[in-house]
Amino acid sequence: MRKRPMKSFTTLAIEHEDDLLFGTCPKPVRLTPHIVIGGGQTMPEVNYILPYGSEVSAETLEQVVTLYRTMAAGTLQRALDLGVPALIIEIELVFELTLNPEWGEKVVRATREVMGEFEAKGVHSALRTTVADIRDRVRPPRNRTSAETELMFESFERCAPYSDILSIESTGGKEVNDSALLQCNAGDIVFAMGTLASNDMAFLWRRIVDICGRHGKVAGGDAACGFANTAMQLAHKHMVPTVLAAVVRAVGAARSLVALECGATGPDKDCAYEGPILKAIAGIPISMEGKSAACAHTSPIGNVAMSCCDLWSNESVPYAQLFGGYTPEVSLENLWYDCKLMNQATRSGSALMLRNLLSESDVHTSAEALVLAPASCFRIARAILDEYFALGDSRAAHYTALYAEKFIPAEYGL
Amino acid sequence: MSSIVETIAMCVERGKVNKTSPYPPDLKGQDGADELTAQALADKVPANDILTKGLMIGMGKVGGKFSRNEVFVPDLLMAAKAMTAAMKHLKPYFESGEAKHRGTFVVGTVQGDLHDIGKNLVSMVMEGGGFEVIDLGVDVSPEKFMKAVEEHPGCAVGLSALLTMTMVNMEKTVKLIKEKCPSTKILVGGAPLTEEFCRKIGADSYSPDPQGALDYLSTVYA
Repeated sequence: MRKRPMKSFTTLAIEHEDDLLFGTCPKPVRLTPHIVIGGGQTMPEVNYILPYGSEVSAETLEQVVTLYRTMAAGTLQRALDLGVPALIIEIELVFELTLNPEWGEKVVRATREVMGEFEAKGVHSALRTTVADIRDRVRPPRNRTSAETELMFESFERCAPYSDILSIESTGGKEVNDSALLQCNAGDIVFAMGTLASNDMAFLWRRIVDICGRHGKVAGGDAACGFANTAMQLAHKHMVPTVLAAVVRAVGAARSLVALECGATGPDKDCAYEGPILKAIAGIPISMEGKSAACAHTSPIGNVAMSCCDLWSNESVPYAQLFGGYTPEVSLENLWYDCKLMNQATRSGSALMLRNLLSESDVHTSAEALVLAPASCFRIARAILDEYFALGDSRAAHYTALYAEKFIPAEYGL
Repeated sequence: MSSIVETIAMCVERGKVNKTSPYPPDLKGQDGADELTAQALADKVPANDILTKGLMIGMGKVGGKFSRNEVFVPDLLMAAKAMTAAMKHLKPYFESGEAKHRGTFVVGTVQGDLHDIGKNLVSMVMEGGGFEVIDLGVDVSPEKFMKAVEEHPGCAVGLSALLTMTMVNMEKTVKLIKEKCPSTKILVGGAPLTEEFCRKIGADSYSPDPQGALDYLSTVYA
């Protein structure tokens, strides 16, 4: 594979914070003639997973594939019933489906087939496949040369033909970050995300972008989920201060930007709450999750997370029956009504007002919400670009200061 | 209790490792758990008293504060570091039998799951509570847990899981251990778990925090 030059972002794609809005961005992504993300409308992104207690094995694979087919059909039928014109379905491959790439391919292909059936009925949909980062099954992880690494890339290759968007939540640097988080050691957190994770992402995303290019698919983006959302959940449990979790969120933006430097175009991942910062810098469309993801986890950012989204997601919901139908269908309905509200606000010229209401309803109760307010995101984005050209010097200083004392797997190539 | 043992307890509770450690600032320059434990042994204080009336009391206090959300994880980590500094002096006494662990705790994250923050915290608190901890790591198969149970007769087992998809492996592990060694006490923990799930799979105890797990084991090994 030829090494691509990395892009560099030197100016903000969105020049004024009032232009950091939901449903629109400078670089919308056209997936199909009917689906343009960030082109003026928000749309739902639905993610679901097998029921509690499900087992994925060679023996259960056919049942698993059938269940994925059923979940897709139910979701798309609800879209048809509600008149949802377009939606994104996300399949996050669990470990077993990535460790066995042919299994993951079967699930994704089955989902694509169901989507095709509903396309004929007028429901337009696109598929995001998120491959699991399985590289840290062994500790310390061998991020570049292990069997898991190759299986992961094989999984991308096999799923690409049936997907529209490919994504990952990569975990390079997490082994250092987890320890630093527990110690509330901001210096080591910056090192883990700014140096180790960023370096790993450059390796990873060059290959993912290459795979997407060969298959004519969209390279979505990465999420600092294993870093910043871990911090958010630890803060929620009073294990670390919430202010630290807010700082980790901001640091995560510089890390996730690397995917875009390598050629990813968005839409960014839903659990990448750092998305608005990336949107301000690179102008890409982003997926976000907030109150809509209460089915998956709690958060103090339920409304503010919606304020700049292009896709509005439920994060993930295990398949189960509720009074109102099965969980993916219920999630879609909730997401769709939120999207309708945002789209109506755009049509009536009230988008900025709604964005500010969403933001202001959260920012006074949580540092983590405050760091995601559009004004804060805009300032962080500007700060990242302002520091960009000092990066070379700071990296050199960082290595000198830390390399001798830290365990750094040789595979980071430092 | 002698004052030196009380001071050791205070050093562990506050995370004062040794004389050169700068934390906590108000104890800067004073002896920490390291020097005081060495001194206590030189003064012929029984090793078991240092363990049970000093180190475990200190860890218990900071663990209680952690459970009540009065301190953060780093406070717990510093306490554990102070405890470890003291324990190195006690090692020969454990080998001779003069000081004894309260029991053995085998712990790991279940198969298919790579999350280990919760497991590591529980390990730390258990160690602080006087248990010998056998940490099997992450992605641990039911068979590997079973092997460890056979190698450590009378041990208790802690299973951790963060993913809903791996809870099924927790159930398999509990089933295997209870089939082959029914008297083994099994503790479960992790974000998606509930008391109800714990009962359903036949485990003995669920706790949302490390101190709860220690409290349970303390009753078992009382």
